[in-house]
Amino acid sequence: MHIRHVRNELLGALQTVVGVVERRQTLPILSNVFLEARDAELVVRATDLEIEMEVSTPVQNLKPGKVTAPARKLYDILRGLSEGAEVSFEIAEEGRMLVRSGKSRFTLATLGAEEFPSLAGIQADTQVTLTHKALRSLIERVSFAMAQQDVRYYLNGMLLHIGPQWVRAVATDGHRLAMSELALETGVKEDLQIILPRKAVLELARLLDGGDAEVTLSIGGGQIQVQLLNLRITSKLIDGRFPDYERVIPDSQDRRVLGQREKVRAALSRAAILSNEKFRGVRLQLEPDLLRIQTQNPEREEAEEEVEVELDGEPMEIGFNVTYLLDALDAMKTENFVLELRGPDASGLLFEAGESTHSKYVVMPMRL
Amino acid sequence: MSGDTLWLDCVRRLEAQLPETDVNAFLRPLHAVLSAEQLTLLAPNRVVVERVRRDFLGPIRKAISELLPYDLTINVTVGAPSAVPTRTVIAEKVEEPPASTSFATGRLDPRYTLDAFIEGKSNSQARAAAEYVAGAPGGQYNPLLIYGESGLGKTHLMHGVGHSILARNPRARVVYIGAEQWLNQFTSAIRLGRAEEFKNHYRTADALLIDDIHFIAGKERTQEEFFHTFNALIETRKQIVLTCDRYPKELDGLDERLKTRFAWGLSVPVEQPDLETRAAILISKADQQDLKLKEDVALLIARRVRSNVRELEGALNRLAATARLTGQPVTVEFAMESLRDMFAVYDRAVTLDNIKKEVAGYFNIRLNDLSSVRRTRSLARPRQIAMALAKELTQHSFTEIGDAFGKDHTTVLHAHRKVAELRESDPRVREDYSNLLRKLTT
Amino acid sequence: MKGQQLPLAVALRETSSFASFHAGPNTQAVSTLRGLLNPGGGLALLLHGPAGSGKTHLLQALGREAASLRISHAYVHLPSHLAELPEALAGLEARKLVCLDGLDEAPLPEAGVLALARLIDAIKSRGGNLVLAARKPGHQLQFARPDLATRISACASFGLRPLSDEDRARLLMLRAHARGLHLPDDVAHYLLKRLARDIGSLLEAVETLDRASLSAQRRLTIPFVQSVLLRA
Repeated sequence: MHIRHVRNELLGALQTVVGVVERRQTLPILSNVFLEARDAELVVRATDLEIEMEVSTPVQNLKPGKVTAPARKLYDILRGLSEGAEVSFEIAEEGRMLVRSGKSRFTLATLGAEEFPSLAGIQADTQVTLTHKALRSLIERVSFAMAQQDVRYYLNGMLLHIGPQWVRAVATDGHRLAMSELALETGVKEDLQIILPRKAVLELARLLDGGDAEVTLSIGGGQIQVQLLNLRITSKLIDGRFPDYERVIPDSQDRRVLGQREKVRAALSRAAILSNEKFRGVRLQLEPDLLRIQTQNPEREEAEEEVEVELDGEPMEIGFNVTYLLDALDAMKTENFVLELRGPDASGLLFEAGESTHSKYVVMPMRL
Repeated sequence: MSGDTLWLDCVRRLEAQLPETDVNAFLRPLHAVLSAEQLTLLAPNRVVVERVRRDFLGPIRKAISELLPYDLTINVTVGAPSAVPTRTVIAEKVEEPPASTSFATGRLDPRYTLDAFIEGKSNSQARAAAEYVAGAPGGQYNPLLIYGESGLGKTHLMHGVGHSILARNPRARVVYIGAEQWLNQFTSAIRLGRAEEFKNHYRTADALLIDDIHFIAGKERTQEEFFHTFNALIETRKQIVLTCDRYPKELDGLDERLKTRFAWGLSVPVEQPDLETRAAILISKADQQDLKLKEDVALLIARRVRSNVRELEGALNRLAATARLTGQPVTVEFAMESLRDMFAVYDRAVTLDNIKKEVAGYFNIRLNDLSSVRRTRSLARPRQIAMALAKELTQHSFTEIGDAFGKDHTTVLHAHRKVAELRESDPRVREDYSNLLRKLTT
Repeated sequence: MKGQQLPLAVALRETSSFASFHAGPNTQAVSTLRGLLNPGGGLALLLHGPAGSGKTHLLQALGREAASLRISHAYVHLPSHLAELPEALAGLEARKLVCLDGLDEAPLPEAGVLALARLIDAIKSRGGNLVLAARKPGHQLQFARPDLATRISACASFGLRPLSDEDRARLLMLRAHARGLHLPDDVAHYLLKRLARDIGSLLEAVETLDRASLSAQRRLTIPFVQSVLLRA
C-alpha cells in the first residue's frame, strides 16, 4: 500500500473514526485502525467490536493494499503536522508502515489487515429513511436521559420504537424518562423496538448535521447500520427488552403548572448552587401564581427563589433532583412549558406548551 | 392479519399490565376469529367467558385500539376454533353457545376394545361375560354389572362391549354416560321442564352403558327415574351395562327394587391382577404407544407396582415419555434409572417412623429417646434434627409432627428454625443433616 | 437536603418462561414438559413438588409457549374455582393441551372431583395432553372419590427435586438476569447465606434489590445488598 494526500483530509478521516477506539484494549489489534487503498480511495475503519465506523476519502493511490496501524499514534502524528502539508503512508517492509511529510518520517508497527475484525455485512430486515435534522432532533431530545453505566443493560442505550406512522426515541435511567416522537410514514407493518447502545447514540449525535439530507437506518440481525455520505456506522444493538415506557408516562394529572421556560430554568440553576452536591434535591412549593424553589446543603446554606407561574389545581409541595428538571427544560425549545403533577410521590410530566407536544419528560420525585 | 396473530399481539400488551396468572388462565387460551368489524374470542366454557367479560374487556378494547387503526366490536363466547367456521360465527353474531338439543353423552375411548383387554385370572369371568353380551346384546345377561375397585379395567370392558355392538351394527345407538352426569342431566331436565325429552333420549337407546352406578345411591328421585328407564329398556330387550365400585347388594342407599333388578342379570367381579397379568397389561399398553417393552422390563415394573392398573400405566407413561425424549432403548437398566424415584416411593415412602429410625440409628440412641422429655444436649439435638427432617421430607403439619414426637407444635417450630440456623453456623450439624437427608431420600 | 430518589416503574417484569426456569436436577421433568409441544399427544403428566418448587412457573411457561405455537390449550388453577369446578372444566377436552394447577392446594368438592375424573377420561380418549400439578406425589393424594386418585396414578409422574445451594445461586442469577440485572456469583451466595432458603423469599429479595438498585443507581455488590437487606 502506498498513498498520498493532504494532511487535513487524512486527519479528518481519522478524526471521524478514532473516537471508537478504546484506550484500553484486550485485543491489541483493536487499538489499530484499518487502512485500505483501493481505486482512488483510502478506506479507514475502526471498531471496538460493538460499533464499527468506516470512512472513505479520495487519495492518490500509488499502490493498492491494506494494513492496520496504531490509531492514536497515527492520529497524533497527523495532528502535529502542519496544515496543508502533503502526507504519504507506505508499507515499507513487513510489519512497518512509513509515514512521511516534508522532512518528517515516522515508522509505525503494523498488524495484518486480515486479522482486523469486522461486523459482518448486515442483513437488513427493515429500512427507515428520515432527514438528518429529524434524527438528530430525536436523539438530542432524549439522549441525556440515558443511563451511564447501569447494571441493567437495557438502560444504557436509547430505544427506537418504530411504528407504521411514527418513530419514537426513548431513554431512561430509572429516575427520569424522555420520549420524543416524530410523525413519519415508516413503511413498517408491525411495531419494531430496538435499543441502540449509548456509544452509537453519542457518535450519531456528533456526526449528524442539521440538514435536510436523508439518512437511511438499516436494521437486522441484531445490528443497525447508518450510511452518511462517505461514512458508514454499524453498531450491534443491545440484546434485550426495553421496559414498557408507555406505562410510565402518566395519562392525566390533576395539577398543571404553566411557566416561562427560561425564567424557571434560570431560577432553578441559581438555587442548584446551594443544593446538596450529591443528591441535588430541590423543594418546589406550588401556590396559585407562584412557584417557590428552595434548596439547602449540608453546610446549612440556603437558597430561595420565587417565580411567577400559572397553577391549575391545588397547591402542593414536592421534591426533585434539580439536574433532572434542568435537563428536561434544556431539551425543550418553546418559550413556555407545562409541568403536570399528581402528588408528592408520583411522577411529574414536563412538556413544551403549545400545539405540538412531541416530546415528553417524566421525572420521579425525591422524598426530602 | 389473522385473528390469532392479532390476539397474540394483544396478549403481549396485556401481559405488561395484568397479573400473569390471569393472563394465563383467561386470556392466553382464547382463540380469536377476526372479521371486518368484529373480533370474536372463543373460550372453552362459560366460566372463562364470564370472567373475561367482567374483568378484561376494558383492557382488551384498549390494547386492540392501540394495535388497529379502526374500531372493532369485541365479542366473547364459548367455542372451539375448528368447530366454528369463521363466516357463520360472524353472520349469526353468536352471543351464547347454542342450546344443546340432545343430552351430551360420553365418547367411547377408541383404545378400550375387547381385543385390547388383557385377560388374567383376576378378570377372566368379567371378560367372558362382556364377550357374551357383546355377541348377544339384550339377551340373558341383562343387565351386565361389572364391579370392583377403581383402576382395574371396569370401564375398559364396558367400552369394549359398546365398541363390539357398534362393530356388528354401526347404526345402533350406544349411549355411554357417567352416573353422576346422568344425575345432573336429570335434575336440570326437570328444572327446565324437559323431563320428557330426557326420558326419550335414554329410553330409546339400543344399549345404555352407565359408569359408576354407585353414585345414584341415596338419590331417591333419580333412582325412581332410573328404575323406569331400566324397565323400559329391559322390556324392549335393549342391553344395559353398568359398573359399580362394589357388589351391588352391599351398596347402601340403593333401592331394594333396583338391587333385585340387578340380580336378574349378571354381576361379575374384576379383581387385582396377578403378576403375569400386570406384565401382560404393560406390554399391551406399551404396544398401543408404539413402545417395544421387553418381558423382563415389564416384569420389573409389574413386580414393583402392585396396586392397580392405572398405576402401572403411570409407570409406563413415565418410561415412554423419557424413552421418547432420550431415544434410548428401554432396557432393565434404563427402566430402573428413569423410574428410580417412583420405585423409591413404593419401596420405602419417607414416613415419620422411617425418619425416627434413621435418626436414632445415625446418632446411636434409642428410638424412645427421640420422644422423651430429657433435655440433655446429646438427645435434644438429634430430636431437633429429626423434627426438622420430618418437616422437610413429609407433608405433615407442625402439630402432627409434634404428636409423633410427644411434643407440641411450638417445639417443632422451634426445632425447625434452630436446625436451619445451626446448618449455617455449625458444620457438624450441616453434615449430619445432609447425611441423613441423603439416607432418607435415596 | 438529603433525599431519597424514587425510581420510575421501569424495572422489567419477570415472565414465567422456560428460559427463566432453572431446572437444576429437574431437567428430565422440564424437557418432558417441553416435549408436549411437539406433535403427537396422549400424554398425561403429574408434576409434583412442594410449594415454591416451580410447578406454576412451568405450567405458565408451557401455556405461553403453546400460545406462541398456536397450540390450543387451557390453564385452570383449580382452587380458584372450587365452587364451580364442573363448569370451569367444561369443554376443556376440546383443547390439545390442558394444564390443571393446584390439585391438592385445597380439598376439592365431590362434584369437582368427578368432573375432573371425567375430564381426564375425555382428554385421554381424544388423545390430548394433560398436565396436573400437585404438592404431594400421586400416591399421597387423597380425594373425595378414589376414582380420581387412580386416574392420577396413571399419569407419568415427575417429582421436582429441591435445588442444591449451587442451583439456588444459579436460579437467583438467572432471575436477576431476566430483570436485566447482573447478580455476581459472590453476591448470590451471600444472599443464600443471609436469607431463608425457600425460593419464595429468595425471589422476593431479588425484587427488593431490583427496586433498590434502580433507586440508588448502584450495582449489586455485597455492601450494597447488605445495606438494603438491613433496611428491609
